[in-house]
Amino acid sequence: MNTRPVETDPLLREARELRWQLPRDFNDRLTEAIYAESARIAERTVARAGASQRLAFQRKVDRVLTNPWTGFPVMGLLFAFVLWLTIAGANVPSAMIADVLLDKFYPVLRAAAMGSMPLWLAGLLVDGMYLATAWVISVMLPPMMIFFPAFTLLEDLGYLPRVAFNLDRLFQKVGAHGKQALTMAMGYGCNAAGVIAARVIDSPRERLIAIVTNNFALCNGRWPTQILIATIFLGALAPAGLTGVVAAGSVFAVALLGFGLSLVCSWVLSRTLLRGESSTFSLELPPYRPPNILRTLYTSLIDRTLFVLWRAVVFALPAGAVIWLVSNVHASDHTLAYWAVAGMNPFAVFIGLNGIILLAYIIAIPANEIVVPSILMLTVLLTGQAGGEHAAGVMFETGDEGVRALLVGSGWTALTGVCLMIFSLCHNPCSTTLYTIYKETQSLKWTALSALMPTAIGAVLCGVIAFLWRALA
Amino acid sequence: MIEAELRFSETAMAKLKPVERAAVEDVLRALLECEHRQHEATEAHLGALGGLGREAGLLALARAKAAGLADELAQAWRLTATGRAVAVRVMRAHRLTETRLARTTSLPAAEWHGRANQAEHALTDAEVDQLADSLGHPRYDPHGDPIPTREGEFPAPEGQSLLSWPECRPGVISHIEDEPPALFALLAARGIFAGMRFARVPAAPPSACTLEIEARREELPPELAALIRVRPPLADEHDTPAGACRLSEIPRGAAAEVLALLPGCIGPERSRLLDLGFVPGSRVEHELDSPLSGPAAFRVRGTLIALRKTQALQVLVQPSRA
Repeated sequence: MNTRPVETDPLLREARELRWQLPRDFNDRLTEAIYAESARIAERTVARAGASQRLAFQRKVDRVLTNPWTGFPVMGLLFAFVLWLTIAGANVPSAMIADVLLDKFYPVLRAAAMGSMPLWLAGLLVDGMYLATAWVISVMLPPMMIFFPAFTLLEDLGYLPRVAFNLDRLFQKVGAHGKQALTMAMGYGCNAAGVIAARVIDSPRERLIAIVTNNFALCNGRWPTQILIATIFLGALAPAGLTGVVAAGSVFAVALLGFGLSLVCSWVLSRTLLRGESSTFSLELPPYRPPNILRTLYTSLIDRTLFVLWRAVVFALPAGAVIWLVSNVHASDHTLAYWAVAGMNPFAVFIGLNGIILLAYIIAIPANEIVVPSILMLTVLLTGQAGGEHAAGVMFETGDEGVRALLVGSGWTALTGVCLMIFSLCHNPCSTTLYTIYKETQSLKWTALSALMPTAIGAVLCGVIAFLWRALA
Repeated sequence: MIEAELRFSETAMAKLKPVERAAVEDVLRALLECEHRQHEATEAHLGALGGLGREAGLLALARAKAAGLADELAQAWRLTATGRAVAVRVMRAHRLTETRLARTTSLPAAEWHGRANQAEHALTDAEVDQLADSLGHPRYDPHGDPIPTREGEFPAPEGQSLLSWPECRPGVISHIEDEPPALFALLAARGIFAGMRFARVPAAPPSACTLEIEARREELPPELAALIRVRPPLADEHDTPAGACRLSEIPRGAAAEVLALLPGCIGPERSRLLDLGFVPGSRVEHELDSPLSGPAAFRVRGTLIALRKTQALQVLVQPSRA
């Protein structure tokens, strides 16, 4: 009626007029008829095994796991149990690996290298690259071998979708998607994996929120830092028998803080940069299945443990070289490391840390795993502690007691430990995660925000804690 | 003939700078909407409809007039034939974009309009035709408005204002105005969309508007009711069955049979629910509630599916007798 048709063919004109007279939802009706018909065919031809007893049992389990009074405590307890298992179980194998790689093999290797190469090359290769890698393997491999299979078991059992179901309301309230619980769970293993997992969220706005806040899920590279610092600074405050519990409890508290921060940041983002309503959510809650333990062990060892370990080793080799170089290359009277630490120290001390920690975080941008080794090595170098046969910039491992003695000797207090734990939770993601964020978002802006937002929050939190601590002490 | 107009309109538009062009296209589309709804097109009204504000709206109208796309008669503006051709083309791009956003993304309904407002100026004719092809030449956009065909045809507005609809007579929501966006978002949040069946419930104060929409009672303040246009049901649109309710109203432990997915459930979400078995005739049982009154889980065809309340609201069911 608004304009005249181009064609004058009466048949075409009639067809065009008839087009507007079809019922409005005829496409839907067609689709629904096809679905209803296929459902009817399936009903008639597929026989179901009577599993009513199992179904009744599953319903009971579901009632407990999603009940408002029992659901959250069960969730917390399971998570805390996995943490405790990781902390308690990793000690012995960690010490064994360190014994072989560091105490037995390292002196032999060093002697051989010193005899056959120029001194600087032997130092770079053995004292830098080999030691960094050995440290990473001994610190990371045991917790990963416990943590990843335990998580995969929970996933295979069908428990993780229930977590997303329980938490959806919280995520909806902050303008995010319930499946963000799943991407966070993935992030507890590896943030790069968590960022990729955000693809399960359809809405672009909510996917960006999940990507930007994934860093608040403590990743595998940061668990060892948390666990070590919690054990030597906070666990040590408790009576001997409770060390493990206190350590696990404080790591759990940091993980919980991370969860809270991811909610707060999602809330702020969905009201500022990523404004919008929360979208839809449909999630299948699969039936509980007895997990296939062997397959779980195999896949979590091959797919996750070895993959993450390989990545850590690849990044530890050059980082080891860098640490050795900054500790041994001199500019005027001092090493590069000295100048960097001296420059950052005033600000670092103000926020409860020290210059060595900040320098270690810069060196460890490629992989969070090497933060603690870098700190230890730089501490040895710059405070001139420990001694004897260890050359400048050499990573070494002398057990929890030795580490504690070294750190306390160079001025660390419980405040430094707490602030390090907070800063380890809130700082830029590693370079692999940042690269993954860039690939997933195709945007430098979101990548930069993902790096700067947690770092700024970390600096502010540590500053506030340090201020209050000093004011109260 | 229309081709000649289009060619002419292209030369008229080509003289404008891109920014000016977008503003002119906005007022032309606003003029077409006024014409369509038989409003009088005053300047203030046009500025608001085009989302431009008064100053920019006046400037754009003046430019449109200079380009021979619109003219003014006793304070009321109307489109010239050339102007109408441009407006229809912009409206086609706008409504097709809204349809694409609704069908292929999970963006909330309140965001479609703003995004389509940007896209309508950037799309070329070839891109718009391609979009129509890829969507399967839809006839109506998600607000219930007809999408002009490539030839520029679309039917006359149907129906009437909800406020003038008699009580108790069944009808169908034919259109929901998406300006102003804040009010539209309120209706979307309540789960009220074009295509839903309704009847007006006799209410004590005559100003209030109480509706029974797809087995659910909604009290609409006048400013929301004013956004809604309604029409009589077609021959094959039956009344909502007696005793029906929404899936979100089924108590835990009870079962129901699916009658229909309502129009608020669209795009990927609709296909997903159909895939999961929410088809007419399926038996659904409300099995679990999540803590903090979050989503609820329903067993359908042997699987347990969690849905948020707003989604369960879009499933019309017939409760089974225990």
